[in-house]
Amino acid sequence: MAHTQVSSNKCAGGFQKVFEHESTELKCKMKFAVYLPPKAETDKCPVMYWLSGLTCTEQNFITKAGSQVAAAEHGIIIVAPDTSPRGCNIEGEDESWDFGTGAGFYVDATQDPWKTNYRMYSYITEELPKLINANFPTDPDKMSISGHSMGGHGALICALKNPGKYKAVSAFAPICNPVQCPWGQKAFSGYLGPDRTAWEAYDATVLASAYSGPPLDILIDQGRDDQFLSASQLLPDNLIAVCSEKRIPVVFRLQPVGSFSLPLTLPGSFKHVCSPINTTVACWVKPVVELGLFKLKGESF
Amino acid sequence: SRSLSKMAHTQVSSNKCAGGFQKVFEHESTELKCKMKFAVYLPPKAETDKCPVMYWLSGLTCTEQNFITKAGSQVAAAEHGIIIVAPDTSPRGCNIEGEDESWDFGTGAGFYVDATQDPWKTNYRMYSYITEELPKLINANFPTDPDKMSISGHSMGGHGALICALKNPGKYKAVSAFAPICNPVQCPWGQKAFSGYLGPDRTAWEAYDATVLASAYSGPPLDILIDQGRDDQFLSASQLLPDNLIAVCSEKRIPVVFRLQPGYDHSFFFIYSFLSDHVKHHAKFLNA
Repeated sequence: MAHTQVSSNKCAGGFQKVFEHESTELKCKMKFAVYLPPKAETDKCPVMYWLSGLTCTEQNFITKAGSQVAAAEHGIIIVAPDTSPRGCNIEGEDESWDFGTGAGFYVDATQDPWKTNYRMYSYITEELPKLINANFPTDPDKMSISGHSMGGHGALICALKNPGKYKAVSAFAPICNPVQCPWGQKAFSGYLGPDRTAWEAYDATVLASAYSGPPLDILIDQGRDDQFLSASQLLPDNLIAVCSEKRIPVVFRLQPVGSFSLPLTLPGSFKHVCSPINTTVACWVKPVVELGLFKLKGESF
Repeated sequence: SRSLSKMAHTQVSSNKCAGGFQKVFEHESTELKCKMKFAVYLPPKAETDKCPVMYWLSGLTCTEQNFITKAGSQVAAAEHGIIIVAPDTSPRGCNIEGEDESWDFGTGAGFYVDATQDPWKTNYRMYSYITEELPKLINANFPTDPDKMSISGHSMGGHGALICALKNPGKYKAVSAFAPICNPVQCPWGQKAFSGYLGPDRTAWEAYDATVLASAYSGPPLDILIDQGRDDQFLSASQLLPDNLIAVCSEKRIPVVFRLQPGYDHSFFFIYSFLSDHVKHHAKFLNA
């Protein structure tokens, strides 16, 4: 579990660091970012894992999302890994921006030529937490997970596939039902082959329909003007419908006049009261918002 | 027609952010004689009311993109109802020989002066661009309160903010800076830039030096806020020289709040960490 520091910048009273290590799951050198809040100098801290979306590295989130002030305030370590193995020289890995390099989709690939290196699911859920807990002042029982787009998909499936492992889960514009959208179909057929039951093991909507673990409180922010929402890549309705049925609390906030890019997702937006809900989706959003609010208030349902 | 207007501009991008809009525009600059981009953050308040404007000047190598993506400015701007204008750092695409040779001179390194030397003097007029042309364009096209302007910046942009405020008493209601180049006539960066843009005459240089300008300042009270990382490699390389400015301001009784921040470097992580303090400082005077 050796790792070397690549950079360290003081930020919001703590330290934004980047490390590099040889990953045993991915069989390549990988970078990951760690934000250490001031509290980490004296106490163990909980850890939030942030999974980035297509084309990102470990840099995008830590420079553009304004995460550090909130992490410092709440005493949370934020770990932000890369989005795929790097430098493996696999034929075809750089052909698309939505498959291969920068597009690991947080699965363990079973198909050649991807299966040796493209094991982001195991990397995120097993290898990285072990490394983090062994080397940083963490409370290993206090983990949570979040992410954007492909990373939102990653956060949701990691939480749903590991009941009780993550104390909280949230997502920004997640790919909710990859087996039904072009992005997911392309990635899953490439990484997992033609068998759709293999795909379903990594689909948040399918996983939610079979979920029977400790209570999960899901927070999802989605830009209403998101071009990928209108292109039917994200499909939040499908996930919300299943969560309603299964009584999995979801607070889903459709953010009006928003677009897809990172500046939408500044943590400050969480300080705002739940946005006005678009009336055309109120019929199905409202019940889950209320479900979510029941849960937030600690009431049973 | 719009194409004949000196103040025509076209929108390059618009993203909703922190309840307002982060926009980027492009226009033909008459001072710089080239196409220039500039970023404008419009807070929610701008939908219904005129807002004060804070100008942000970036440092060496930056464009209009760095600040708006990395500094986390929008939440504070939204909270205080302030429009933030972030221009580019030099003329672009002028095909001047030598303009891309250095990262600290020429492209991305306009130093907020009006050049007098060839081959720079036609295009490298960032001082007039920032203090005259851009505010006219902004006030003509956005819901601004033209009397409520302030200025801030980082490094070379910190130098820019300080000299714009000191050279225009009363024009800016607030000024602040992050790791500014305080005394360019005395540091390698400044000496290189000024000899190139302004020639060998040091009196010409002094007209753009915050420390020299402060020693001759006699305008309305200025409240200067400066944040400086103590672990800033350029501080130890004697490029920034804040002590010289502080000494002069003490003498002239120009209020300066100078905060040396232990552990912080020259990066955007440093700017991000303290930007909301600066916006709050500006808001105190802009919203008064």
